[in-house]
Amino acid sequence: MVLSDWNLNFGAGGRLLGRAQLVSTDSKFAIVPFKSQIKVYSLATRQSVRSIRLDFDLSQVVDAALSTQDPNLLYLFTRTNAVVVVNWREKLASPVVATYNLQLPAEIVRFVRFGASENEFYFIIGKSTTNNQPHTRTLLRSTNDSRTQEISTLKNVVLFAMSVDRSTLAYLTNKNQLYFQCGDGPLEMTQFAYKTPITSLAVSNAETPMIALGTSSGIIQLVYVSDSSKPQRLLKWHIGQVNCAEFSTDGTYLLSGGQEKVLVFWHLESDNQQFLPRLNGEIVDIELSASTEELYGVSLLLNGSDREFLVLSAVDLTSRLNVNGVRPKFATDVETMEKDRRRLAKNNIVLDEDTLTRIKHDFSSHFEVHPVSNHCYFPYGAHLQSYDFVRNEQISVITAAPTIQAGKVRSETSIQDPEIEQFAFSYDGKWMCTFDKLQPPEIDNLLSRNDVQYALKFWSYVEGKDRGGWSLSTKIIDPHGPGVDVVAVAPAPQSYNDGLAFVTADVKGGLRLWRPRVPKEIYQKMGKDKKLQQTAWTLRKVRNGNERTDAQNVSICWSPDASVIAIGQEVSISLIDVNTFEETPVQVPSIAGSRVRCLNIIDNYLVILARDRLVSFDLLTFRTTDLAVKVHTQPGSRNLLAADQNRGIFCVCVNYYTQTYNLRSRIFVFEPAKLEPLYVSDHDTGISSVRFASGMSSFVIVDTDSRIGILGAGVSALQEQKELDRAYKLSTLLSNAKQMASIRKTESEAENERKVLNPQIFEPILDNLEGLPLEALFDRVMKIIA
Amino acid sequence: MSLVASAFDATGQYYASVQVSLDSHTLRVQSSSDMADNFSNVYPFEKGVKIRALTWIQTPSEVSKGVKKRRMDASLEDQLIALCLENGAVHIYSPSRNEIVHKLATSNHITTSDFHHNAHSNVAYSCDIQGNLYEFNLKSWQLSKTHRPLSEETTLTRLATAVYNDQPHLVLCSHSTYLVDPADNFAVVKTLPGHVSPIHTVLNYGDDIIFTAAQGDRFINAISISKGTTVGVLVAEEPVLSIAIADNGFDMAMLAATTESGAIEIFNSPLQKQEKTAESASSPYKRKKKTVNTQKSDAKITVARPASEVAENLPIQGVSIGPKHLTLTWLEDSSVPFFDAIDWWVLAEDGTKNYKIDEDVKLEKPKPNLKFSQFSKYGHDIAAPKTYNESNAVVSSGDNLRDLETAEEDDEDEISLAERLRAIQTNGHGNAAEKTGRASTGTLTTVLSQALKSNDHSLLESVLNNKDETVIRNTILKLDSIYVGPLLDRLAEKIARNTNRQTNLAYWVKHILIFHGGSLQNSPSLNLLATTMKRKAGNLDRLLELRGKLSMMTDRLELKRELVGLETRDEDEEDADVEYIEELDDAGLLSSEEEEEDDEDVDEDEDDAMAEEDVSDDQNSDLEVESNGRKIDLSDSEESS
Repeated sequence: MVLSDWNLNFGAGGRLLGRAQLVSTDSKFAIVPFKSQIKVYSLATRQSVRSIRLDFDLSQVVDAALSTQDPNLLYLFTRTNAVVVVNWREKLASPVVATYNLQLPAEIVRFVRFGASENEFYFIIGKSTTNNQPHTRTLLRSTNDSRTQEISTLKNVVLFAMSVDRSTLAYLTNKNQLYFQCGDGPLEMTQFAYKTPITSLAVSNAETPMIALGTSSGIIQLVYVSDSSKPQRLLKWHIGQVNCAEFSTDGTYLLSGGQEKVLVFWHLESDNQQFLPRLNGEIVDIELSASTEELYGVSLLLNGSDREFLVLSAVDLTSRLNVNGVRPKFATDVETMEKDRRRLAKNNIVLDEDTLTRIKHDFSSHFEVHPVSNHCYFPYGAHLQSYDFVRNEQISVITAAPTIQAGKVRSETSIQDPEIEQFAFSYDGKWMCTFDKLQPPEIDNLLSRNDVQYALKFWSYVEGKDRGGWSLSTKIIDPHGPGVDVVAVAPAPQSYNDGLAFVTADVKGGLRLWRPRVPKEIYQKMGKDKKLQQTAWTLRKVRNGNERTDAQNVSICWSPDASVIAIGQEVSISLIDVNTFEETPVQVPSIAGSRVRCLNIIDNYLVILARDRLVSFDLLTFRTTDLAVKVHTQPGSRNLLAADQNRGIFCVCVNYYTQTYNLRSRIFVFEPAKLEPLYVSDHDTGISSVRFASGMSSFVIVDTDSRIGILGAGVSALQEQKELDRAYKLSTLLSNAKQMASIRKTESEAENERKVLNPQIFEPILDNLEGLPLEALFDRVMKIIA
Repeated sequence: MSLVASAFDATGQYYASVQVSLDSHTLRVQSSSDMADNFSNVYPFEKGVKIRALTWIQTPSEVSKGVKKRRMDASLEDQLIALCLENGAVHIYSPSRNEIVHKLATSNHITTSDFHHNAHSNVAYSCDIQGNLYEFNLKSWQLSKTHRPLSEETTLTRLATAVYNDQPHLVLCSHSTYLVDPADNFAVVKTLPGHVSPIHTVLNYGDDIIFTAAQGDRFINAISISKGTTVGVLVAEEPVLSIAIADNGFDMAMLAATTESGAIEIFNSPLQKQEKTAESASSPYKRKKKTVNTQKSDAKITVARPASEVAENLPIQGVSIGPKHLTLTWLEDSSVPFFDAIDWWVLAEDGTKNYKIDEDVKLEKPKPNLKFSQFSKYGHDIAAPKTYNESNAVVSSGDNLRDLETAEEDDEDEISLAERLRAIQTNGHGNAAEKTGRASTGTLTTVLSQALKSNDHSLLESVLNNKDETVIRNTILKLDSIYVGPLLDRLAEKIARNTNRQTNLAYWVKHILIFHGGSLQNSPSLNLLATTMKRKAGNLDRLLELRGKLSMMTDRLELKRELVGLETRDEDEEDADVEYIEELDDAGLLSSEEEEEDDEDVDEDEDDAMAEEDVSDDQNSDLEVESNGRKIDLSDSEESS
């Protein structure tokens, strides 16, 4: 294999930016910025119709607006005070139409509105903040050549809000003073009775100015600005804090949302409420636009920091679109990366060869690639997200354990949902095995408070366009006995029972083999009856571990011929005969030297990724091979090694710090017996996980930015590449030939300009003859001949 | 055939088909992999629009002009479908937007037969049935040129691109195949061998080879462009409708052809074999002229109903080959495309790669239930995650060891059956001996062994209802140890099912363990009982803990009562103090407010103190639980005795 045959491409995935999302003025498209690209979705088909890649970091974008004059133009406003105009609808060579770099006294925080023309912008500027700290906020008018005019400045602003048509503004200071501003007018202070901390702010359009203040206690205070005689109102429904509120365009409704996962519609005149419950996550933002009244954009916080953008129809409150990024569950929050960097920089630690790969935190995540459909499955909480990296879209979300769909408030937040800890697909992709864990809540001092509930589940894939999906076939409660955690699941290779078997390993070192039970003959005879007998997976083989000590570092793998299972427990590795389920008489010498993170048998080589080394061992000759590398690994590093059994190679990703303490990574592909890697590539962020996609014969890599990369060692990539190269060659050749032809054409123009006449081309003349004047007929004939 | 036209996209992920529904044509684009993906768009055309052919095209990406852009994802947003209409126009449809994005018109209104676009150029070609060739500029989506490359009036059926002499050339197919040079005013450079009937499929393979298949023709020709000759002929058993070819990068290639009867014929490594035969054929003993080699299909794939269902003809409509899988489609209810994917090569145990489809494959598909049902039923929004449902699942526990296998069993099932038979035989003998030996002793033992032997539940129940411990003891004493295992299993089942009978049945278990413990030691049949017992016993600790806590509570209550008795005296004293202050208050010496506050403070302090005491009690009590428990146990037993 030649190095150049390998092709790494980080194209798919990414995380939702969570701000600056828009719905186009014709209500047909939604424009959603990701960290690496902007995607345009059609609301009719829920499909992405365009992805726009720009050559600057989109995480700098703070706000976006659609041009009112040309609906194809999108203005992006960045933290670096740049205004980028992008044509989002048409496919152009360069989507960027214009870029203005403004000279402003401070960063842009939000875009407010356009001025008299679209060369004039109104901004709120100041210091950016994430957690509502008091800062100075200035409303400023700027032309695109940086002629600025300050309109108003207010110090110590905690929150501010704009109306839907962006004509009015409201500010709240840390002294709990409320200010109202209409257009370019002065700031007016508005009185209100402060009770509890304010968490969100909304202001209505100029006709009947109202301000809504959402509080941490869940009460929304409604203040009438113009009419101080009207008493303020209290809207009570929320129990948790109100994360966001927004007035409808005509001011008849107030929309609010919070931790309850319920979108609340307050009809302000009649005091009626309407609810849209059970959204996928906590509501963090509601976006309405003046041009598209019939659609609501809602941002939901799913878990940790991942967002979902949901477009709802105001008419029937059903979803029109939901946009998701990839959601790997990192062992450590990704934000820690920046903290680590700062701490390292502060201590000014000198990095040498040895400490370079000693990463402070474990940023690994777990995912699996479905062997047939090539969808990536990411477990998060009790859910499994399946993501198609080819189409770059979320396919579905499966709930793999019973959860509370309603949002949790106050003390309920201590109730934990079950969490998927392990999962695997069978060789043929028709079965999935998940293992989840439910920690009982520590609410009451119950005797059962320490009884962690474990469940091993076997899912079969049910065909069918509408009802298709994963359906639970067997649930095993406490698969390794009560209170014993399962720490590894491995699917059998095809050579064992046609791949229909899973092996689980627990913390005590016990092994259990599960296989589906063939339905009894009685059931088979009942074949005519349409009721399908559910296949039960049952325990077939047991190997008990020691009942005393717990080992968190347990890894298992099958040999390709399915005769042996290798199990690594802390530092020791043993080989188990699959038939007898007992240790083989031969013992593997202690070559790991440190805790075993991950084991893999490729051909007859046992590849061991241990805490401080990567070694491979020939099981037939019982000798170590040339491959022995020193590397520091974290507990989750088992996710950073994936093997391709077909080619007999494996891919390892190693994260390291640069001299500036940024996390970088390097991807290696090794053959198990050679020290020289087949392929090496660098990546500009840390890598979280790598898996082998057998359906595409390539490695799939997920980085800490949630991007999905494909290491196309595979034929598909090769072939695609070949096709592309050929197509490219053809296109250049064609254009060359065209130029040649055009030169020749000018030489013999008279000859070439002749047009072929035959009876068929006159056929359209005779279409729609009724009531046609003779002149028109003559015209038609002339049009064809000319 | 109810499909007007159909095609897979380049990746085999999507399938586009045009059907006649009522009196108009309808385009349906759907995902071929069924896995959790419900993508399906339907676009109905206007009444008069008749479609002749459809092809998938990649959006020409202008960005890639200068820089080679290496994206291997064929996401739907970059793909378009060109629909060739009978009135000569070409409509460009975007599946991701579900609308016609461009309408390309030709000056002649003659049925267009094919549209061809080369992924990276901005030029596309279409041909019509009267031999006209149209060139379109895909930047402006306008017709740029019209040609008539062939002198005589020939129906052009297919277009392709090929490289000849390092120059791009167009391949035009009618009955024969022509190589034309677009640079040289579409002059025919070469005429390649053809078929008897019009060609309907042309496929490039590598830079030099093209495969052609024609209407009603069983032969698929492999033509080398450089040589201008047929280098191989693949012979199907029936006329070929469409072909697909792919390789896997390990020097393995496969060509699949759908035939008129609805089967797929597989030609494994279509070119390598020919090279081999070509070498042998070119030996000097044979005449050079006859080097065209034929190859018969290696295997055939058909789709049929299983034998238990009514036989139905399910012709395969299309095939697409990826690097690993072969995707095929057929129609259910003559209108709904269904898909299946099969691997076409496997990795053998010794590491070599082999063709998987080397003999005829019959895919049995039971009739699907095509009743309309939607995910959005019962208010389930598409955006919401699929809910968890375990109502149809088998729920079991990790300590259910019933299906446990031993190594021997695993090897061959027959042996285990023989063993079982042998076991039954020995049972019979043992029973006979027992009958002669101890028939007269314990009748209950006889009944019990009979019940176990014949698996008679009611009989067993009548025996187990016996509550006299001495009777149980004697029965178990005389019971043959063969029956002990089954009896234990029955008992375990009954205990697991009915917790109330536990005490009664526990005697049985107890005596079995006493008298047959020795023989049971090595028996695997204890598993079920052991797990049941373990689970029962598992609650004991917790119950003891609860009991300890309860007793502590009662103790503390008593203590409190005693303390209260003491405190009442203290409080009396305090009350006197308060009275004393009140008197002062009456006299107007102290301000009442402060006083009250002080009082409250004092109370609170007291409460706090109490709470602290409680906590310390708790801590102590934990240590005392066991002793308490034991004490109470003792007292309880004393009471009960």
